[in-house]
Amino acid sequence: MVDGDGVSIEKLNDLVEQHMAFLIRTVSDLTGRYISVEHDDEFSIALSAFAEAVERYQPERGAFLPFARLVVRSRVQTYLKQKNRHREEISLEALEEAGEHIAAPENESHDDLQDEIHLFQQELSAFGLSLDVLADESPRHQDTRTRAIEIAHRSSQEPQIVRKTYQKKKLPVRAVAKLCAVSEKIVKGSRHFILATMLVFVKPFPILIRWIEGARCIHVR
Amino acid sequence: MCDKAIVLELKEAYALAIKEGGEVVRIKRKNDLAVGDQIYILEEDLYYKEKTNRVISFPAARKMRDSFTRHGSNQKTLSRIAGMAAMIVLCISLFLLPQMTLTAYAQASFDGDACIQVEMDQNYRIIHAFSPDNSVSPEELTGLEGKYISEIRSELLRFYGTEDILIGYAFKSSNQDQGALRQELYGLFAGYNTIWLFGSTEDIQASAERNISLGKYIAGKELSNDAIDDVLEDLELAELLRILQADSKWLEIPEFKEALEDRLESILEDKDDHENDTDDDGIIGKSDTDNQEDDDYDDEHQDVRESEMPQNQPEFEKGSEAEDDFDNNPDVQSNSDTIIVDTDASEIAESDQNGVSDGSFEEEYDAETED
Repeated sequence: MVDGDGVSIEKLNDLVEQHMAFLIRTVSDLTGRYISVEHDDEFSIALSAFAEAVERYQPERGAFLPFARLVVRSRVQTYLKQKNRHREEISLEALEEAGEHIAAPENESHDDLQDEIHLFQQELSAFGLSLDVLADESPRHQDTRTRAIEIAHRSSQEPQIVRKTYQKKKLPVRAVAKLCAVSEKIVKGSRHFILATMLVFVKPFPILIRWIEGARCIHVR
Repeated sequence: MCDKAIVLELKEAYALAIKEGGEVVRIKRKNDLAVGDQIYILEEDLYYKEKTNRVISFPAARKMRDSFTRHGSNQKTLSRIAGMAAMIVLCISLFLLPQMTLTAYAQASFDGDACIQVEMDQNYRIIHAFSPDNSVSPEELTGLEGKYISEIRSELLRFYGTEDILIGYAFKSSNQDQGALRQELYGLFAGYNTIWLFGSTEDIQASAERNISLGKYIAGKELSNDAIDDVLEDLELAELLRILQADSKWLEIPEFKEALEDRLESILEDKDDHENDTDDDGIIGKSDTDNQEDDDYDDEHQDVRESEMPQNQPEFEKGSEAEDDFDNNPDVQSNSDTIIVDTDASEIAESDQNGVSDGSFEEEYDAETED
């Protein structure tokens, strides 16, 4: 599929993927906040600015990235200025009277997630854990983490293990190692992470489960 | 590289987030951050707490090195360079750190054919250059002082041959821009095999006290901690207690404390398993009675027992495989009702499909109780 100007959509998508980190960094530096995965107006502006830069780029005039940065920053800054200028209170009723249909804000899923997070923290606390501990002890290597998640998932399906865990308020390392046919050392090495992940599966916390099992977004600089 | 993350908790200096894939990380605070936000994060958004003497793991260090080197280096090189340092660290308590007044913003050491360490100000200008092991005379190093770190490459390289170079670096105070310092140092040994280790303020003090370079000290700690893990793993509880009796300060070493706790936990688990064998919902396990007569009785009265099954008998579909398995295994029936009851038939079917018997754990348990 090729648009009229000769830059294929697939190629553009590839370029966006390759420069995702660059785009995120550029917009984040301008706005001073993180880019939202769900919806981010400034990031949308940056994406279209990037497409514009791709189309307008001429190699003989210099490197692509500085040029793209210029275009993206320019468009986003323009948008921000306009946004600040026109920021005013508008009542939903007035908009609806004018015929504008305003979709209900998608707070429900966000509220659900916040509830899950809150309950998850309570569960952790009952086991003497905290998110800070998990941050210190989460396996850094992906293979180790994947294996730990598998162990947690398997353990969460075993009623004996679950019962023992809640009874003792800690992971029964030996039983888990035996169940999952791994060495105790492996379980011990990630015990808090395995326990926390197991709690997510046991309760269950569906949004967190999807997140834990979700694919990783990897974009090369 | 970018990742998606959900914000879990907001702290004053940082936030905690969970990345896709489950890793919990600390990230820097930015505007409008709220719990539940799903955001993109980059490497530079990660927040490192003060005591980070293990910030750079060997895999990460190798990644950085590989981007600037031709050959792959490995732990053997690190072991060779830091061998003596590891012995020193193991012999000295890690908690006797002296209070030293530091005047530098950051320090970096370079160990290879020579050992040179530099102290830098906030602009990365060298305040002081010295050789912790006296492999380079002070006179040869005075030429470095007053120059920016990025300017000394040619002067520095004349001290180093083709050996791997260990680079240790740390800040005088916490929450400094590690990336910026790293960037300054990268250019010095471009094209050389290098190993990078990032340390803490305490590491600067500790290495000075021991008259070894910063890099060797950090490497020694890494190795000593791994060595401690390997050694402690093989020690029995009695031996650990003997070590503790000889010097109670061992309990202050996290690895030792963890090893001790693991041993105690194993003993408690063994004790619990034994108690469960004798008192599992009132059913006496075979391991206690080991009574052949009971086996015979059960086999003989299987039909009778079936009709008298407790009400929490699992319900299987008539003629299902799970039902057949249950019916054809009187030992399982007679000795582990409570376990079978908790098992969902669908799980059995699913696990059988996956080639792993969901009853394997129960069967093993049963095998133990029959002993």
